[in-house]
Amino acid sequence: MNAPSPVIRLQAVTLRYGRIPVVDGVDLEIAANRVTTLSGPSGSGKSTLLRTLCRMNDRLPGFSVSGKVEVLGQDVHAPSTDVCDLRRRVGLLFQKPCVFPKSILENVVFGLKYHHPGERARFPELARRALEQAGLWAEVKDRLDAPAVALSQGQQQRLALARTLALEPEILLLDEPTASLDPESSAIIEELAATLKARCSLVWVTHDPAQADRIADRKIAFADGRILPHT
Amino acid sequence: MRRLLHSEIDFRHPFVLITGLLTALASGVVVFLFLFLVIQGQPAFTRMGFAFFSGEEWIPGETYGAWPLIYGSLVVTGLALLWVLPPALGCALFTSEYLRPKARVAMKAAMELLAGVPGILYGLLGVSFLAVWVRDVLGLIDGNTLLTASLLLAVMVLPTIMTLSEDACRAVPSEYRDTARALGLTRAEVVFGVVLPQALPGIAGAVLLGLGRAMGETVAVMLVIGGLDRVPLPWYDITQPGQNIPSKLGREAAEALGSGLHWNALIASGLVLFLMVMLFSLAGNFLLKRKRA
Repeated sequence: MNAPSPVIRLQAVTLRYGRIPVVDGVDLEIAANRVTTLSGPSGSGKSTLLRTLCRMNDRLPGFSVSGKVEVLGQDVHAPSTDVCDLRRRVGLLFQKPCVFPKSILENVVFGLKYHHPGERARFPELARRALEQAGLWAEVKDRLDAPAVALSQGQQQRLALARTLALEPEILLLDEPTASLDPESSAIIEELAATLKARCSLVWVTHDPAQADRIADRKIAFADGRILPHT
Repeated sequence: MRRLLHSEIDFRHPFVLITGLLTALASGVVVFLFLFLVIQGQPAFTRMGFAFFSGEEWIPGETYGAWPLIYGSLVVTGLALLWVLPPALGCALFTSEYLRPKARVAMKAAMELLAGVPGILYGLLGVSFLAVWVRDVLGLIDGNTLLTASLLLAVMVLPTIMTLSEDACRAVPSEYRDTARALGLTRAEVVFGVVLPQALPGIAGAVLLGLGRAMGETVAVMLVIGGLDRVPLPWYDITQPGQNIPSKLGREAAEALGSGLHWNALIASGLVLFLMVMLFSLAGNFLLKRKRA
């Protein structure tokens, strides 16, 4: 069987804050429809690398990139790259759940309002699908107009996931998405990874080797800004 | 006393007693001011009745109709807010969202410096340049008009509204911006879709503070408003001279002190000003609560 084609390809990528390299000369290919985990100690560069894939580090003072970062066949730093479109296609879930002080429904359709303003009539249906994918529909279907901030931390993280999934990203980047959650909520999100990989490719940063063992199709370990051999 | 404090607070503790007395003193000043205005202004209300609010003639010793003053206060303040809101909010958003940290600090320092400039200096600027400019541009005989006063007030409250609005924008958690950017929103969409709605209560507070200053500003307005106790004809012609309550008080308070009904009528005007500012604050707070709900 042929290996799936890579959706992410890094060639000699070095990421620096000022003169200090945090990722040093990394070559890497990540296959489609897999769960790939990036693990390693704090400061090893895994989160910086993850955010570079959707150019979320651009505004950090002193941040610079050398080498080639190719995502979905496109050089993300090419002048022709539409950063907003890139971020729609490459969703990012943060460590700490962040929901807007709006209703549950408004949170889910938040990105849709900007990317598909002409499809408002379909928003309820799209919101339902995204909430189902995030495993939250059954818990919130009767209170979609309730404030999102009233949800538990775990539910808020799944709401943030639904908001990202509503945009139908081709790649989903998860930056320690369970680090601030209780074990039960973490388990729910881990289970979701297995079902989500049929729709998109997942790159998951984690500190926890046991979590990487549970969810990963491929594990990549970082140390001092480099990929450890044999991972 | 006990019913006003948290249950675990011992009101006999010296620190609680002292801070409580100071709080009572501060609140007492407001109550005293209100009572002073009501008691001293009451003879004018009794003598004039509703004509005090609706009358257009103010002739000391004969009749006291405050409508031109109320009209002048509302028009000058309303126009000032109309002129100042677009540049103040634009400047606040630009400074908060687009400027690099060093440039932002420099801009804020300049605005805070301007916010502290005494009103009389603005008044001198208004007399020297603004009134002359309005006269020449509009071809008027006299540049001291309601329009001139509103433009000068707009310049005066711009730093206050801008700097407080900028603070409100900066107070929006950066996670909201990052989340919106990660969803693929453009910078403008992040500003108008996330930052501005979240900063709105703070911006409204800034506007209310600006409105308070605009309504109460005396000396600068007195120099450029024209000092005519008359509602313009037609009523919307803001290129005519007019009068507002603080300007009237500033012009006549010294000579009217102890003169009976003239003094009472001026104090009654002050009470109207006090109530108008309070009404606007309450309306602003009400609107904000509805927005938050």
